[in-house]
Amino acid sequence: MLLTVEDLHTRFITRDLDDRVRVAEALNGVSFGVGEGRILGLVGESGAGKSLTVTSLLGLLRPPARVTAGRALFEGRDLLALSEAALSEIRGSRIGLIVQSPRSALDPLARIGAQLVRVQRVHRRISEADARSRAEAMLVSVGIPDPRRRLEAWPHELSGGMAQRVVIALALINEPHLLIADEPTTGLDVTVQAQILDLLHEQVRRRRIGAIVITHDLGVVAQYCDDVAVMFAGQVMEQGAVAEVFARPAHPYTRALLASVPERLVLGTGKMLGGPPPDLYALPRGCLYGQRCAHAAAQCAAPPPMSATQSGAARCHFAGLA
Amino acid sequence: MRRLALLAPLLLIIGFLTFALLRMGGQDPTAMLAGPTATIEEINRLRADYGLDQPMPVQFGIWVGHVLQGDLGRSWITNRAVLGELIDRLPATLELLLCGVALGALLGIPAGMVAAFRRGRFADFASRALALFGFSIPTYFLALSMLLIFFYVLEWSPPGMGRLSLMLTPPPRLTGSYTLDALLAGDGAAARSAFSQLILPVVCVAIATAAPVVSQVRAIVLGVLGTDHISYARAQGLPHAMISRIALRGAATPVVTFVGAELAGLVGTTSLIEYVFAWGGVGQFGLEAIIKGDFAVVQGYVLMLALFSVAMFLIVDLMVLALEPRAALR
Repeated sequence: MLLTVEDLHTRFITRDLDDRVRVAEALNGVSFGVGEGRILGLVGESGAGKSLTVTSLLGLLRPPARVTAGRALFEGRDLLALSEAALSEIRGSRIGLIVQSPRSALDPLARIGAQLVRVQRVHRRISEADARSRAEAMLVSVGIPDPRRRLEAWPHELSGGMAQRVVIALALINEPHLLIADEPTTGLDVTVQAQILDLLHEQVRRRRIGAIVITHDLGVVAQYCDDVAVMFAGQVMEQGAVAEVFARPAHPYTRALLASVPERLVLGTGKMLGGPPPDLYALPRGCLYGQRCAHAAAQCAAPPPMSATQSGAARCHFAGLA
Repeated sequence: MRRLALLAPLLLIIGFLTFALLRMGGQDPTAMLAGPTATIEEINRLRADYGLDQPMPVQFGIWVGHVLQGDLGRSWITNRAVLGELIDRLPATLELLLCGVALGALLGIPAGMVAAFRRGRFADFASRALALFGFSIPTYFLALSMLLIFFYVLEWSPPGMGRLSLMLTPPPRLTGSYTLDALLAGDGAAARSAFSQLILPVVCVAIATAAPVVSQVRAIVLGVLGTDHISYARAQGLPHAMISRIALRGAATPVVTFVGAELAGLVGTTSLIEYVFAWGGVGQFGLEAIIKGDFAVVQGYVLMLALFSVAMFLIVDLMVLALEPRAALR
């Protein structure tokens, strides 16, 4: 495994106006693995904790959020135990991040070329000229025509699709071992979405690196991912190889997801799936999905363990039977 | 450039408002000019001389006509041309204003940045407490307190009586700033005296400038630190110092805009400080003209303030154009 996440807990700890401590239990024991050369799809409705998982792993949480427990082994080191300086060296060099709003993520006051050169020279010893020619080559490989001219462009001069290609170039230029794409196609035209996903897929395959793609589009998972982890209320409810899980979903939530259409997931109301997500300030003791589950029974008052299924593993008392 | 096209109607409106407000203010300069022993006939003749017997729109028309020919009229008190009086006094005000605002910005901008970067820590509270102090203290009171402490009690400073010790003769005028001119003329004693006279009023202007600058810069930098491109910079593993630089670069445009607006707005505040220190700049001149009902001077003074503000905003626009790659589009 390239990355193994075990029992990751993240909490938002705040004080209300009466100075009482309020704790939102946002991630409740997230565990999953990303294999070398494999693409993991992280799916779930809005608020399930998909992006928060990534920000927790990369040490990008802002107060009041903080990781309270867990391990994340990457290349033999626990990301969650590293100092900010050590993590900073890994981010952008060993792990590349692709964000969902490329146009606002790019530094508005630096030319594209300067940004591509900057991220290289921060992480490795390389001359300005070499970094520049690598940047040019990278723009070509992410499908940007006329790269020499684009190096001189300002971020605001790029279209959304072009900006996303630049962000992909920024993520890949230091040849990372793991690529994380957080909803990489939100806000792009449908035709551009497919182009970007094809590009990501091709780059990951060609470089034989691992990748995590966060999405709420099951179609994207089916088409581009090898493995899938289904998240709900800050837990991975089911995981396994995409083909297996989609053919024989073991968890009631996965079944509900597969039965619903992507648009409903995007809205994130959860209403179509039978109710709102649980209150993170007052989580149920037992199965977190219990309140919405059609098959809830007496056992569900106790937290279900992750148990092996035909297609992988699921966090359900009835997973073996289903 | 659209702003330049708006300049003419703007100045006309400001001119008219000043004109009308002065005449509705109930002041009668002719009675003051004629003196206590004047007869009604004498006052009326004086009034006709100054054109004050005409209906107001006619008076305004005459004034605008003269202004267009570069004639701002005469002061009824000194009987000198208003334009000349203003130009003579302008360098003194500019010296005070520019030094004060520069000092205030030099102190206020870093303080605001430190407050933002050390949010919630001691440096944040300290700089905000000082800013609050600067906000709450009235300018004239600040100026008087400074004189009381540094001249009367500590005797560190010369009295607030103008721009140069009364014992010395002013240096030949080149820039209009006594300190600079004395240095250029090689007159060490005059330069020292002019500089020590300058310190207290400049510090007053600096405090009045720094207070709003600290809180604005803090808010601006905090805003920039919360943007997507700063979190993305962290995700790229850029070092802390580089991220700070990116944030500061992003804050430059709003900070320049704010300080420029401050500079334009502080002309009014400065006139009170000039008054307390008998600075003899346009601010004090304008303030005295308002009190004495010297209509032509007030009109010229207000017109000059308006032009100054417009010039400031123009300079800010040009600076933003240089700082912002996106500004060229607008």
